[in-house]
Amino acid sequence: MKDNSTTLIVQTDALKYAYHHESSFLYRDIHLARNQTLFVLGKSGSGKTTLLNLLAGFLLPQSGSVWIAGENLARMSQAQRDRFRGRNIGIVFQKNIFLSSVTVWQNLQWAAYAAGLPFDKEHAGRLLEQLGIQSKSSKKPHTLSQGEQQRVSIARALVNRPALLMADEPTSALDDENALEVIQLLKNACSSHEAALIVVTHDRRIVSSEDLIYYTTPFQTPSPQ
Amino acid sequence: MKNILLALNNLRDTPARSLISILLMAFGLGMIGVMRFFSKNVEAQFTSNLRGVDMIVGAKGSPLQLVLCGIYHIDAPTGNIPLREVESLRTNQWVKELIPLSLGDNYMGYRIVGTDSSIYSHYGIEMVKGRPFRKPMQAIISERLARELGISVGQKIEGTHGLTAGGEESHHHPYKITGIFKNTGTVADQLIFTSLESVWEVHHDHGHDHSNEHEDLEITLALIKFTGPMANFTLPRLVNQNSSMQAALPSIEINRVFNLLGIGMEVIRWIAIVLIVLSVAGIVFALFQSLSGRMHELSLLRALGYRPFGIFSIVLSEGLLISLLGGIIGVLLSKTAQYFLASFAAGTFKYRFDYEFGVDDIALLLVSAATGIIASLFPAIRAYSKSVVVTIQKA
Repeated sequence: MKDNSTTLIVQTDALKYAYHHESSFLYRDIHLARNQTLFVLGKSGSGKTTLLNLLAGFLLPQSGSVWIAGENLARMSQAQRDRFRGRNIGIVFQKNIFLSSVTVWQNLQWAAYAAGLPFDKEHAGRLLEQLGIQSKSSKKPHTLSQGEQQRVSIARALVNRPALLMADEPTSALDDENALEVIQLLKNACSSHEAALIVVTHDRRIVSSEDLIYYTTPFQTPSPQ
Repeated sequence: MKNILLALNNLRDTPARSLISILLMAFGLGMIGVMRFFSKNVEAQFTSNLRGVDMIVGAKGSPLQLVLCGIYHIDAPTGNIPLREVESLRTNQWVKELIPLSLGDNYMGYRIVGTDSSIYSHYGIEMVKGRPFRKPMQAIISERLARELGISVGQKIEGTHGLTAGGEESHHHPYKITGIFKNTGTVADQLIFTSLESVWEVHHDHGHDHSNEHEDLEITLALIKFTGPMANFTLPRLVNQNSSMQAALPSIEINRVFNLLGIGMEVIRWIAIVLIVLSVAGIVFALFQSLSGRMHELSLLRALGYRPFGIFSIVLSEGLLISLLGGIIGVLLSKTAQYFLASFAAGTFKYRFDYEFGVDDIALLLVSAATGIIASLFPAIRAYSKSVVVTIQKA
């Protein structure tokens, strides 16, 4: 653990988060290196999404800390954290959200622009090609099918060559075949970018024996009053 | 720049909503533009042409008509008055200056005005070509008129009876243009000045020598300047009671006109203000609508690392684009209206108004930009503070 600290992409330490002091989530520590995939499994309400929010820096923990690529998220200002996330963490949201008034290509451009990075056209073009949606690049996102939209989301998440890719319930609306294909897409994309992958899901279909698995359920505890 | 492009794309995504706000802004500003034009040109003409005239004497009738005829040359005369009675006023202690005017003919709709050399100082006339009229049937015109009519010094023009173009037959008494004067910016620029004798000669049977019949000679009216303000109390009464003439006080008559016009102007002003307020409300509404539809997009940008200030400026750009587009259309509208008003004034009254792009139009654009910023400030702050990830997960 000490030796591979340079290759560790995600590291958490005694994370705790509480909503309105009613219940709190305690999280077992996570250590995730490059090219590794972690499945976060758990029932609804078990704190899966909260964990994702903590790892992405959308939420700050009551106690404990999160290091992404060696940086402590809590040490940053809000704006710094936004920028850091844009550059180092790619997120595939559960719902496909795009800038609806511009094209797929411009959505990728905006991902780079929002993070304050130059837009790498070749890289973006290759991503669309790998994901099989290069023909859609001048379309408005809402004209695409759900599956195509999800691929655009994945492409956007990878535009800035993040160290960590996170996907929130990416297969919830898909049948078995497509679910496995999407997971394979995500894994391939991560391995070609040497990124770590975290998939938050309750879908056991997509978990294979060699994957790392993280359960959230047993660690939900009532907060001490 | 990218913010502005995105804002533009967002506006194009909801054209109907954007268009309503744009048009409200355009009409509000357009009306203000026309009002400014009106007050700048019409009111300015009204006040500048007064030129210190304290009283007008003319034939009995409507005093307002007398003022409109004698000072602004936009109405018919009330009749004629005997020169003898006018001349008797010259000796009055309250009369500082007396300018006799004799109307009745026109050339191509421009009035031919018989008068004497007192007009030079009254209108500030400076000759640029030729020399002043001396003998009967000589006339002078302004540079503007020379250009509009294509007349040069030495040319002869034939007046027709009446005060508007296309009237009755011509008099076959040609006037010779002996001089051209620099534009004065007053009503003098649209008048053809000649001597009183010319007008008498044209309108009397000729072949006689009229110079001995001074007693019968008539003019249309006379402009009078007072030696002091006390004259206001004595001189009009003196004229109205002791002569066949009537005296009108232009400042009082013009005040009356402006009081009437003023009500109309006030109504238009309020309509314009209401339109602009509606437009501001429209922009605020459009932006909030746009925001509620796009809050998750703005949150997405935050999630992608975009600075809160960037979010703020996207929303601000949307508001600013709406209002500036409205401003540009508004200026175009007001220019079009001004063009038609100016053509009307030129065609009917021979007045010439400027409607070139100017400071007023830039001011209108600035006003539109300012209203746009004010209107979008609140939505922009809201977007800036509300664009958090919670909205993304609820999207």
